[in-house]
This record gives sequence, C-alpha cells and structure tokens, in this order.
Amino acid sequence: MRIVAFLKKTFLENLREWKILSVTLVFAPFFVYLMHAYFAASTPSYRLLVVRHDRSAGAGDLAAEGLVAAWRAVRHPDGQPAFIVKEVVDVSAAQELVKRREAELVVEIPAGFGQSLLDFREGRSTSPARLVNHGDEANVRSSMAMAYSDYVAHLWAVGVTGASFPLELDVRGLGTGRPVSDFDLYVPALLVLAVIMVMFTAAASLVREVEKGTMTRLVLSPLRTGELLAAVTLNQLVIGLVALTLTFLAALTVGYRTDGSLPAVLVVGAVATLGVVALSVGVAAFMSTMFELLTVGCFPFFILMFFSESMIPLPRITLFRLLGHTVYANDVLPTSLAVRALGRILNFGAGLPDVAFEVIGATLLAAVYLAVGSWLFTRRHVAVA
Amino acid sequence: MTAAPETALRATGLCKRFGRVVAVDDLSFEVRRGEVLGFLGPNGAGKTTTMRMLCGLLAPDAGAIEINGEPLRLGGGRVGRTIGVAPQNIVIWEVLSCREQLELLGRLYGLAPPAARRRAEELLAVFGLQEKRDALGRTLSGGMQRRLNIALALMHRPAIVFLDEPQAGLDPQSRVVVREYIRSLAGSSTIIVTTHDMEEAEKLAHRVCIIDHGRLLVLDTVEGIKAQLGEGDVFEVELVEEAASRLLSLVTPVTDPLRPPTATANLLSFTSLRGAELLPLVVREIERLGLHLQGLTVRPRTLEDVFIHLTGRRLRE
Repeated sequence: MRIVAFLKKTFLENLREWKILSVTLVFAPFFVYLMHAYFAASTPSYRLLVVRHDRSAGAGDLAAEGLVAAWRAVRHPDGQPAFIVKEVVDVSAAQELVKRREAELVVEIPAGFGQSLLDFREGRSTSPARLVNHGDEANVRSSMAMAYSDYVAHLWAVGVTGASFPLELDVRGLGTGRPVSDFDLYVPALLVLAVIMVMFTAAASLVREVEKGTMTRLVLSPLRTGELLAAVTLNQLVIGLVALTLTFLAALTVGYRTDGSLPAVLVVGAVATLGVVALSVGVAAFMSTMFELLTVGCFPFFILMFFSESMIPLPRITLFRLLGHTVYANDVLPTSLAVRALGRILNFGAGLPDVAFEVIGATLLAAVYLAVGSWLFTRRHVAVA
Repeated sequence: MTAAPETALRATGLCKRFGRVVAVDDLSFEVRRGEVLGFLGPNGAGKTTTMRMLCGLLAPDAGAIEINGEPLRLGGGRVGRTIGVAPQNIVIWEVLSCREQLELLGRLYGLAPPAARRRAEELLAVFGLQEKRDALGRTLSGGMQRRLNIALALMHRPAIVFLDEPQAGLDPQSRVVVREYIRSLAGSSTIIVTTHDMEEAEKLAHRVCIIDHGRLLVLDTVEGIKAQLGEGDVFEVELVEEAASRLLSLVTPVTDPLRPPTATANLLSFTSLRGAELLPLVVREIERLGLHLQGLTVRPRTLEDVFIHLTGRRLRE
C-alpha cells in the first residue's frame, strides 16, 4: 500500500514537472526525424558519376553506353535502383562531389573502351579494357559502391564478350532480404536513447526529495528505502516504455518497417529502462540539488549515450568470450546490450530466444547497479537525511 | 535505566561533535508525557543538533535516547513512527496539493484512504487551508506553507511532536491559530518546541529547557526559572548620552550580587526589590553628572531576562 501511495505521488510529480517529462518523451523522437532527414533521405542507392570518354558507336553492343545501362538496370530486392547513375564531363568537378560525399564514386570510361572489348572478344588483343575509379577510401559507402559497380561491370563484360568468368559467386544474405538503410540501423539505438533519457526523470524524483528536505519526512515515516526505490522504478518504467513507444511510432511515420517481434522489443526496452533507473539511483546518490543533476548529471548521461552507441557507432573492444558469446568492453552498460539486442530483433528478425544472452546480461547488470546505487543512495541521503 | 511511565522522552548523556566543534556536551533531560516543553538557546547553542538526535535523524556520539521507555535508533525505527517533526525550514512537496501531501503521509503511516482523507480535511480546517486544499504547495503564501509544514507533522497523530520555530514568519492571526492548536494537543501529545520568541515560549510551554554551548543550563517551569533568579522587578534607565556605565557605582551596592546591574551604551538595567527607593537617587545622580534621562521602565521579570542572564548578551553566529 505504501508503494502504491508513493507511486501515485511520483507519478503526479512527473506529470506536473511537465517540462522535464516532455523533454524526456520527445528527445528521441526528435532525433528520429533528424536522423531520417540526414540518412534515410539519402536512400540505399549509390550515386555513381560516369565520365564517358568513349563516344564511338562502332563497338555495337560493346559500347560504353551498354555498361552505363547495366549499372542503371541493377535493382535492390525492393525495386529501388542500386545505383543512381549520372553522366558528367568534368572529372575534377566529379571528384569534388565525391570528396564532399555528395556522390560515392566517379568512374571514368576511357576512350576506346568499346573497341578494346571488341578486340578482346575477337581475339585481336588480350589486353583487357580499363575502367578508372575515383573513390574516397575514408568513406565506407564509397568503397562499397566501388566494389559493387566493379562487380556489375565484370558481369556485363563477361556477358558481352563471351569470356569465361573464373569464379562463380553464390551470394546468400543473412538478413531478412529486406534492404536495411543506414537510418534503419540507427533506429534500435534511438529506441535505447529514449530510454536513456529516463535517467533525468528517475534521478530527479530522488534528488527533489533531498533538495527540498522532504526526504526527512520519508525517512521518519514507515516507508522503507526499498519501497521508495521500487515506486520510483515502476513509475520510470512506464515513462521509459512510453518514450520508447513514441520513438518507435516516430520511426514508423518516416517509413521504418520491421518484421521483428514487438513484444520482444518491449521486453528489451523494459530491461534497458531498469538498467537506466539503476544507474540513475547511483547518480542521485552524488547529487543534492536539481541544478547539480542537470549540470553535473550530464556527464554520466553522455557516458551512457556515447558508450551505448546510442548516437555514434563505436569499434568494439573484445574482452572475452562467455557461453559462446563475445563480451565487449561497453557491454558493462545494460543499454549497450539492449542496443545490440534491438538491432537483431528489429533489423534481422531475431526473436527473444535469439537475444537471451543480451537480455539476461542486461538484467543482471541492472540488478547489480541497482544494488550498488541503493547502497550509495541510502548511505548518502537516507541514513543521514 | 528505564523511563518512568510519565516520561515520554529521556535523553541521557548526549554528546555530538562535528570535527573539533562540540555541538552537544553531555546533555541529559526528561520530557513528561503530555507536556509542552520550550527548548530554548541562542544561535549555535546545539538546539537543532539535539532535535535531530531526538528525532532519530542523527546518531549521537555518546548517550542514549528513550521514547516512551524504548530506545530510539537512527532513522527512527518503530519508535520513530510515534514522532512528528515540523522542521524549521519549510519542508513540503511543491508540486503536490495540500490535500495530496497530507493524504500521502497518512497513507505512508498506514491510514486507509478514507481515514487519510478525513484526517487531511480535519487538519486543513484547523490550519485554515480548506480553500487551498487543491492548491499546489509552491503556490501557497509563506505563512500557508508554514502552517502546512506543521500540519504534515501531525497527520499521523504522533505521540511526540517536535516543532522547530513553528511560528517564524507567521502573521499574528496565524500565530494565534498555531498556538491554540498546539495547546489543544497538549495532554494527548507531548510537544517539544524550539523558539527564539520568549514571549511565545512563556505563553505556550509548561516547562522550559535552556541550553547553551551544548549543555543544559536550566529546565523548569517559567515561574520556577524566574524564581531561581530571586524576586524583584526589572528597572531600565535610558539616557540620552551613552554613559550608562557612570551609574553602575550607584546601583551596584543595592542590588543582588548574584544579579549585578548591566550597562550597555545608554541603557542601565538592574533588578531590585527596592526600586522605589532607588529611582529618586538615580534621577538625582543623573542630574548631578549633567546627563539627561530619556526613558524609565519598570516591569516584571520576563523569560527573556532570565535567558539573557543565563546566556549573556554576546552576539552569537
């Protein structure tokens, strides 16, 4: 009963402190739209700039325009073009566009390209025709575009010259078959970002009691520390799941689609929220005022956001293997495990059993952090309120 | 040693240090069940530290506290549930309404929702907050917040109530309301009130405890404390000139050596049973010295006189 009374109280306080609650709820959906504007609008098609020096029509079906047509014909499984091909004349200007990442690749088709192929087919020459790629090795998309366009060019050349291809490639996708855009890869992280925002509302629920002295009344009352923290946790769990749902809905409004299990997403979201609340209790142990929380408290918030890869993907540092799973350095954060689990569920169709390692790991971490946070909070604010 | 049945609270040999500062030094006293005890002392005397220890919010370095014969532990524990505290600082929930926060405390102390609602309404009526029952704590005036601060301490009908400066910042009407309610509680509850308002303490308290430098100076009824200082009225002679000390030699021989006269700038103050005989002499001496009389007051001794006598005139923190 005491938990219910205190739960109602924290819920009312959260509603009435609507500015903090609003930011918590709309922060991640805002980033969904922002990320979508930057990434999803950029489409999974690679922008290919073709400089065609070979204008002779004498090569017939071996003419360079056939290769351009071949690139244009390649489609993703959903029907979207693999390349957006644009013919240009100025190589330098095209290179600038690649440097500015407004295109992924410049391909120069040298003069005499069609004739070289014709000579090769008719045995007059063994020298292969040349293509010149101008790519940005620092841009992963550029490298991908280069490999993909080269592959298409080889297939086309083999086809038109009748040469035998020394390799037979059998490509088997591990995904759902549905193309996954950069934006799609960000969505799981943004869902966890929504949950990370709960750190402020959770810690504020506790720090407010300390700052205003009402913790004294609670300490003297029969309310136990465990009941206080349980009520705050339940309340924040609701806020976390609402924030996660709003973020997911925001992603759907901009075209995000998934075949993943939504109940599994909610389970992972709930575990991630518990982890964030547990960390928040530890943060609240070191704060005495709301001002401190909203300034000093930003440090653990950014730590959590950064190392959970909620905004920026990081290279993974392997620590060890456990039960057949690799454990990475940032897996000490429950939110990091949650990002990985959500990514597999949403973008690769994994079910809850497939991410059991991550879910159990995040749950255990949340329990450990909650135990440590409760101990710290009790020592700092309850025992000497 | 177990407290007698009529003893609500017993403090024995309480000590508390903060670093090298001794805040409370071997403090022992008892509070009788149903009485209002005025807990007085200058700033920095150790009142707040003592109160925090008595509430179970601060562990003493030495000594023991019993509430109704049972030892009090840090955090209050089971015994602490019988305590109500109205701190000096206003401690309310800013974004809960008056009714909501009273009901919350009622629920935390085990009242069923209807009982908590009834008790909340009762206290809202007592403290004149009915019309503000749905107003958020932060929207109340300072006086209303202070009344709510006291009401929150009383929600669970505690056996012992600690009121730290309950009337600070209240207008005269509110002071009367609070005073009368505290008086009405006496008998059913034991009340310990700290205040700097000596007049209020005289009106309110059955007994008064004065501490300074963390030590007990006196614990008795107001009349008993006054009597300890002997009989006589207080005479205050105010001069135009700051030369009150020039009159000391005249009045010192005819006042009690235990209660010597004091001279501060232009004010001479002394207590005597022979004031009527002394005054003409004082007036003649003022004329002889070429000084000028600005005012003359004769009044019965007050608790403030006793307080100043016991704790001195030196300014504190």
